[in-house]
Amino acid sequence: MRILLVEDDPLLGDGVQEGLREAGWTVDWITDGEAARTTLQADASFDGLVLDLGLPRLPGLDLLRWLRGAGLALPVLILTARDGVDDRIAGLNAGADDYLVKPFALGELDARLHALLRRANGRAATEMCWRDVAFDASSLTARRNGEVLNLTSMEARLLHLLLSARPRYLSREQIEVRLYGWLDAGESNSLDVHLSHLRKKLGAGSIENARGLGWRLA
Amino acid sequence: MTTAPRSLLWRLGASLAITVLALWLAMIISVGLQVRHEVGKALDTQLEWNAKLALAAFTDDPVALPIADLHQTAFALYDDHGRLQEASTSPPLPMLDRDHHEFDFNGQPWVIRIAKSAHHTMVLGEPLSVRDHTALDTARDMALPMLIVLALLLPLVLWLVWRGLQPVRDFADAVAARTPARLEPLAQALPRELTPLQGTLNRLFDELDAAFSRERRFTADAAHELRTPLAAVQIQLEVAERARDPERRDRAMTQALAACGRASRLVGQLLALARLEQHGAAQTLARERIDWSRLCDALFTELDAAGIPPPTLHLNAPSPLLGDSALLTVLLRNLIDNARRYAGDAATVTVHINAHTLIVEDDGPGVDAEALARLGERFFRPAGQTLPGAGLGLSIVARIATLHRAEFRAGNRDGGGFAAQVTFPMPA
Repeated sequence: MRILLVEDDPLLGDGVQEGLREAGWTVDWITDGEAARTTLQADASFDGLVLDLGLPRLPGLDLLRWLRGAGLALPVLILTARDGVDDRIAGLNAGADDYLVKPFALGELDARLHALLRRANGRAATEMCWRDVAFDASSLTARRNGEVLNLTSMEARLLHLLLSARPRYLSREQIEVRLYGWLDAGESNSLDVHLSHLRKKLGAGSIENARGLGWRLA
Repeated sequence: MTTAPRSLLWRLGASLAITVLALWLAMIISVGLQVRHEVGKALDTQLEWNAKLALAAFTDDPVALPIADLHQTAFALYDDHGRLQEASTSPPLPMLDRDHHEFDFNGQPWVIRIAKSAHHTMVLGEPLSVRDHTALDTARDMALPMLIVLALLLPLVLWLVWRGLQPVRDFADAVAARTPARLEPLAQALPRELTPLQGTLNRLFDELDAAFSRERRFTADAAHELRTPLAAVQIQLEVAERARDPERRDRAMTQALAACGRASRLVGQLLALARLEQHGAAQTLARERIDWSRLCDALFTELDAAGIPPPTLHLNAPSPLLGDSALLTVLLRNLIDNARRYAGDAATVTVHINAHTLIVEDDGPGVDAEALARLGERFFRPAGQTLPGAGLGLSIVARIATLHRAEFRAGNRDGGGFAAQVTFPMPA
C-alpha cells in the first residue's frame, strides 16, 4: 500500500520513510505543502497521507482543507508537535482521520495506518480472507489452511494489494506505482516474476489475468 | 518623622468636623459681639433715661430715690456748687460735665451718663463688664445646642463619607481579583474621579497580558520545537533497531545522532535567548570597550577550528563602542553561521565593520519574498532547509542588537545575495 509522507524535518522524514518501508509500506516523501498539493492533484494512487502540520509554503491544515474540498477521500493521519485539545479538534475538523503527537513510536504509526486503511476499505477484521488464505496486513503474513505461507516482502505486499482491490482488476501501472512509488521499479519484468511466484504459492488459478485490464484474485 | 498612611475616611471625617466646628465658633463669636453691641446701645439709652428719671424723682422727693431698682448701677448727686448731695457708692462717682463710655472708676471701665437740672447734676454709671456678661450668656446659650447638633452630625457625616467611599472599596476588590492568569479589563461603574485610574490599570493589564501570553507562546513553541528532533531521534533509533543490514543500521544511527545534535543546538539557543531576556530585564549588560579586530580574530580562529571557513573581514575605522563583547561575538557568529548555511558552499561571506555599522553579506541566491517576511519569526526556517538549525539565530541577533540599542535589518542585496546589518547608536 502506498503512503504519501509530507514532513519538512529532514531527519524525522527520513526515519519515518525508512521505518514504514521496512514495515512494508511504499512511502513517497515530500517536504513542503505546495509540492504535496501538486502531487496529490496529479497522482491518485496513494492509499493514505501522513501529514505534518508545520509545513513551509502551504500549512498542513490548509492542505487538508483543500484536499477535502477537492473531494479526495484518502485517509489522513496528522503528525504534529501540537498536542493541545484545541489543536487536535482543529485537525480532526479540518478532515483528518487520526492524530499522532510527536514523539511517537514507529510501531504505533504503522498500526494506526493499518487501522485507517481497514476502516477506509470498510473492514473491521484485522485479517483479510480469500478462499482458504488468511492475510494479516500488519505483519504481512499469510496462512493457507492454518499453515504459514513463506512469502517474500514483495509477494506479501502484492497479495495485500490484490486482496484490497478485489474484485477489481489492477493494471501493471497501478501495481507498480503502489509497490515501488517513486523508486526505480527495477527490471521491467520484475513484477511478472513476483506475480508468478505468488501464483505458485497460492495455487493454480488463483490470480487471473485479463488483457488490457490487469490482474485480480479469482 | 514618617507619616503613616491615614484612612481616607478618618481624614475626611476629621477635616469636616474641624471645619464645621471652626465655622460655628466664628459664628458664635460674631453673634456674641453683635449682642454686646446691641445690648450696649439699649443699656446706654436705659442709663440715660434712668439718669433723667432719678434726677426728676430726687427733685420731687429726695427720699424716693429708686436705688433698689438700679441693679449694679451707681449714682452720685451734686448741687450747682459741685457739692455731693447723695451717693450710692463710696467713694462716690466724681462730678463730671459730660457722658463717658469708658470712664476709669475704681480700676474698672464704666459707662457714665449725666443728667442736669437748674440746681443739680445727676451722675449715673455702671461697669462695662455687665454688658460682657450679657453677651457671654447669650453666646453660651447658643453654643450648647450647636454642640449637641454637632455630636449628632459627626457620626452622620462619617457614615455618609463611608458610603461615598463604597465605589473605591468595590474597585479595590475588583483589582485584587486580578491574577497573572486572569487579567480581563476592569469594567466597574465608577465615579468620574476614578475612571482615569481604571483606564490606566486596564492599559497596564493589557500590556501585562500580552507579555504573559508572549512568554507562554514562546514556552509552548519551544517545547513543540523540541518534539520534532526528539521524534526523529526515536524513529531513527527504532529504524536502527529493526534494520537487518548493517549499512542501514549505521545510517540510521548517524541520523539519530544528527537529530540529537539538532535537539542540543535548539536547547542551547533557547537557553541563550532566555539569558538574553534576563539581561534585558536585569540590565546586567556589560559595558566594555569593544575591540572589533581582536573580537573577530578570536571568533574566526574558533570558526576555523569548527571547520567553518572564516569570512573576509573589512575593518573600516570602527568608532569606539561600549558593549558586551561576549554577546557581540554571539551576534556575529550567528550572522556568519546563517550566511554560510543559506548562501551555499560556493558563496563568499564578507564582514564589513564601519564607523557605526556591522554588515554580514554573501553573494548567494538570497531569500525569497515569503521567507523574507517571516525571517524574524522564532523557529522559522526557510523551505528545503536540510542543514541543522532551529530558526532562532536571527531572534538571538535581534535581541542582542536591541540590548545594545542597535537596529537590526536584513534583506536581499541589489546585486544578489543576502545582507544583514546592525547599526549601533552614535555615542552621545
